[in-house]
Amino acid sequence: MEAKNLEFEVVIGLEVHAQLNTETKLFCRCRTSFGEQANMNVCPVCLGYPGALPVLNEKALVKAALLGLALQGKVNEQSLFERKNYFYPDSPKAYQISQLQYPIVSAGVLPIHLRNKNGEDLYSKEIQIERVQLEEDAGKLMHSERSEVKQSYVDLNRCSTPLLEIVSKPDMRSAAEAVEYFKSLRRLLIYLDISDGNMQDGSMRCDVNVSLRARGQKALGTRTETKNMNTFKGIEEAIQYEIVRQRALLLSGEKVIQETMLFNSNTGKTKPMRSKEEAQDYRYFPDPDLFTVFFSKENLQSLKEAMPELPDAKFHRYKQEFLLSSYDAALMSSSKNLAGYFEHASAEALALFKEAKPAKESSAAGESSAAGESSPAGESSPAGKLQGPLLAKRVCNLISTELLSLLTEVRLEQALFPVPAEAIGSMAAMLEQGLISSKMAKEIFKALSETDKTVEEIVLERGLKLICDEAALEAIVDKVLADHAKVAADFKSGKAKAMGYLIGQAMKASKGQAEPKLLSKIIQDKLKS
Amino acid sequence: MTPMTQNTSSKAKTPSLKMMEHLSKLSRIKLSDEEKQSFLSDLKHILVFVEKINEVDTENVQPLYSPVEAFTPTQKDVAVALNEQSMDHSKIAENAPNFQLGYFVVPRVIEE
Amino acid sequence: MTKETGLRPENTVSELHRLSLFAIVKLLKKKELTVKELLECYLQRLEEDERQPRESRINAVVYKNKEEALKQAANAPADSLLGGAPIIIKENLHLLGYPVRCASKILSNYKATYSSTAMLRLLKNGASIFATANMDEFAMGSANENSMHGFVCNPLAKDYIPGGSSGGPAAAVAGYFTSASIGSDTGGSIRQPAACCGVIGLKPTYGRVSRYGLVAFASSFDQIGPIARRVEDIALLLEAMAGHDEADSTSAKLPVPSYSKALETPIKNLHIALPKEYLGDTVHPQIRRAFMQAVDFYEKQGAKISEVSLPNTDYALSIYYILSTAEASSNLARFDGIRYGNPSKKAENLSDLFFRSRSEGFGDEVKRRIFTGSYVLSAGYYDDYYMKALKARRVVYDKYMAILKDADLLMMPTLPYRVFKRGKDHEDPTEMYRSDVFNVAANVVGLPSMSLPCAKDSLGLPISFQFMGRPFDEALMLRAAYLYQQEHGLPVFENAK
Repeated sequence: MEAKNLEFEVVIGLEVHAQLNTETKLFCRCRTSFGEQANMNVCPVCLGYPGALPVLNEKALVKAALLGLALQGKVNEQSLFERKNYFYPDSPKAYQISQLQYPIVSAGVLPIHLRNKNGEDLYSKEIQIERVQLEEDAGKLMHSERSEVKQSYVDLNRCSTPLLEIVSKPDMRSAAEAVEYFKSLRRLLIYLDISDGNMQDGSMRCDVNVSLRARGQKALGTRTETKNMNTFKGIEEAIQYEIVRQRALLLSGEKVIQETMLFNSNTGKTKPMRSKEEAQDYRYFPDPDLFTVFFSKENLQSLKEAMPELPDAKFHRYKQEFLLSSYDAALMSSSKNLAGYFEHASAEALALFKEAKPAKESSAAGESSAAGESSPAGESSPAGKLQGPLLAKRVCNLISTELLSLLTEVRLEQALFPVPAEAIGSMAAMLEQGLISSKMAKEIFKALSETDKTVEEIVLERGLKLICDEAALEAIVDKVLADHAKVAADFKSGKAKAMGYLIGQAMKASKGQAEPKLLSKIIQDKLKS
Repeated sequence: MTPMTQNTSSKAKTPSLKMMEHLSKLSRIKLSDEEKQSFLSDLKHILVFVEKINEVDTENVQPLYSPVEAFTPTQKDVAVALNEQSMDHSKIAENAPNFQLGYFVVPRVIEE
Repeated sequence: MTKETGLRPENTVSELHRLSLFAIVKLLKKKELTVKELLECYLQRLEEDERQPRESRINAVVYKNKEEALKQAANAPADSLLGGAPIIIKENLHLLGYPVRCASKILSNYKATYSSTAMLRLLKNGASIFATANMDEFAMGSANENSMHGFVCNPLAKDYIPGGSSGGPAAAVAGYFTSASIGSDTGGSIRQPAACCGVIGLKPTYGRVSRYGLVAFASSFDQIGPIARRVEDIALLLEAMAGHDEADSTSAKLPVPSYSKALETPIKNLHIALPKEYLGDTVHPQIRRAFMQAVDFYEKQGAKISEVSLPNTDYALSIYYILSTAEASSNLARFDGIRYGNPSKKAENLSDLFFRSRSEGFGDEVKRRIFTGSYVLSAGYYDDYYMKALKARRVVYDKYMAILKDADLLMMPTLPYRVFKRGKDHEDPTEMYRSDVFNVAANVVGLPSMSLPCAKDSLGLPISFQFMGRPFDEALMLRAAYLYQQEHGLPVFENAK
């Protein structure tokens, strides 16, 4: 439950740090891969040995520019690296090479869409981006669990890994917006192959700035910064806690102190970080070992041209073109690989559907055949226009019900789908044509993930085709009515429930392959007479 | 690029003892009381020495960060093969005062 | 005396230590000399020096490695530029396995685990490096008095300063412990000691020689350069070291001319400009007289001499002390005793580790400059000092470059003062800073600069003049210097006291 803040408006800004998925570090050619033994991916440069000098990673620059483009931001042709000077064991040069006055990207915007628990649209909003800057990550500092061990351990493998710091304007007004912003940003980064967005491993984390101000007040209140959040739940809880805490302070006439906080997920509370020193004086100055960074307009143009369709664009297109609900559109566009898979399957389904013989579609699959036309609709006709969306909806459902539970994030990342897109497309077309039932689809799906066979082969082998032939169904019904004459008589004398029993029996007799609506119609017609 | 200027409020032109203590903290160099006085005196001399810079007319002049006005060169994102310049644990251990099990060991850092 | 080797022919064998680098290379290639002989000669002289009482021990060298040098010489490629010739390098240059103490207690046990590009190039070009030289701590100083190894004596007059911060490299050459050495120059640290010791020193254009592996003092000022007794030696070493390095983002992507082979190319229409601000009242009359004689020499050779004005010359010192200290305060922050260096034994916690290690490990001059640098960068002072200095840097740069459009070379005395005695007590640290007055401009603007001894003062101590040339036109400077050496001759300073 969102804290009720009738008197106050919540103002939230996020500073997101995302590690780039480049092969090598930002200023040296050590590998960025981690998980190995400590201090293995190091060299004089990232160890901060005297005499070592930085050399910029070209890919890192390109990825930063790419994000800038995707955020419709201003990718600066010239930017500057500056030294942020401070002492800490995980920072071997005692300065971090970062950007301050002239970041690679200034301005930008990220749209977010808020939905309720049922997936219904609430509202959309654009969050302004203040800047995106390129900088190097620090190393890792570790402590023994045992507090009597008076030592800490420094591992510099991670030191100098490229980071993008993405600073939003304080445009968010609730924890939900903040979380949605973080999720959307993460999605975008993964989409663009800029970062793997892995939060557990620390590839992506954020600092949350929260302040309150009286409604209608223009000036911002004093904010606190809660650092290094790396779970959605944590971000939400930390914000909620801060809102409640700050509100209580302000209501009792006290002031909010500007401080840096850490969130404890066990207690659900934020606590001020033991103050390192008084406000740090980082003495930023342009790094004399690096000149002005230049990213040409030509390079930018090529990037623009090569840019893939972005998640938000896909989201809108899926709603418009395929008439998917917001929830479904968001789901299908949530991952680039999934989106590709979905689009491929839908295209396949549409193609197959058009090729298929016209007979039977009219009476089949009543709930999906919106117009109920008796002939295969031409593309331009109203029904024809709906073919795509209908099939896409089928594909979407199939993916949602059968596939998603099997797709771990790792598999999605590597596009390891248990079933080829064409197969989904095939099933979707068959469902729409009324050739198979959803139950059959489930069975086909299981068989697909266990064998190498195609959908058609499985359908044939197992005879998984809906019987739509009226004559055949009539024959089955006649037999059932004959075998269960007493039940038929019961129905005729007013026992409505008997219908269900008869339908069930007829279905059984058809080995589950009777097209349900047609079967029902036939039984009803026969019983009426 | 036109540089942004910092907010220069009316700061004292001559550094105080407090400033000297601040500098000692900023640079992580411990100073005794006499040293503070001595280095403060040195600093004052040096600042007088460089005062001359105010005579230079720098109106509308762009800063020159380096004698070379070129753009930052970049390198391809390819890991360099191990060579004699590579650092492995044995090389690190040669100079590291306290290097155990592959970690640099420091007195315990208290964060919270 | 042959112009080539600087040797009296009859004394060849016993005068090995007087051989120039150029001569050594020739003799080595002709197999008339071995590196072993030469090293034994140098090392014997060093041992003799070590036996001297402190006040007269030159103390130029702080580390020796005969075996390694012999190995390097043996590995010298067949047709290399330097044929195995042994030289000395300043103690702030990384070479695998050698100590790189920068004359500082904080690095007293630090050994190189990687090599600087420039040193590797020297080795690839056939040099062997048999010793490292004393210096002012972290290259901060003008008299080589700020060193954990103790002061260096000027070989020409033992109670006089050798200059700094490359006092060790310059004294090693002047004291005939080597034919040539490599130093570093941030605010005159090659040229000023070369001038004090009566030898030749060259600071290349900023970006000409890779800085990768040079312990950084002030990143936008530092350059590595040669010190020797003969111009051809300077040319050889520069050629062996210079060139673009991918590992140094500030190194220039320009081809390296064959400096050593082009020395005799006649110079036509040489235009030398004399900035009058370098000839004012601060210049000692003996120096001015000797300098003007050197100018006359060039005029007689056909050069056009013109007087120009560089009014912002004075500001170069202020710019230098603001910017170089700012950069140094950041460059020296990495010395915390965690990955290398000497941590304090009294450190009880992390804060202590930083505060005490640095306090115990750094000398006073280094601390002074770190404090100054932190000050000029700190919030509230950045604009008045650091930013102001950056802008002033451009003003000075533009002025010098404007003059160099017409003039080929700028010429002025290297030092306006005569070499002075060691041990001057300074209430005001800036008194020493003024020693750099004629030298810092070249670092501020990034221009190549070279100091050449031209006369002796009334005490027999050296007087030198210096050139400043156009960016990357070391060749012209070398040719002009070579002309002076060949036609006029260089003064020979006997071991006076």
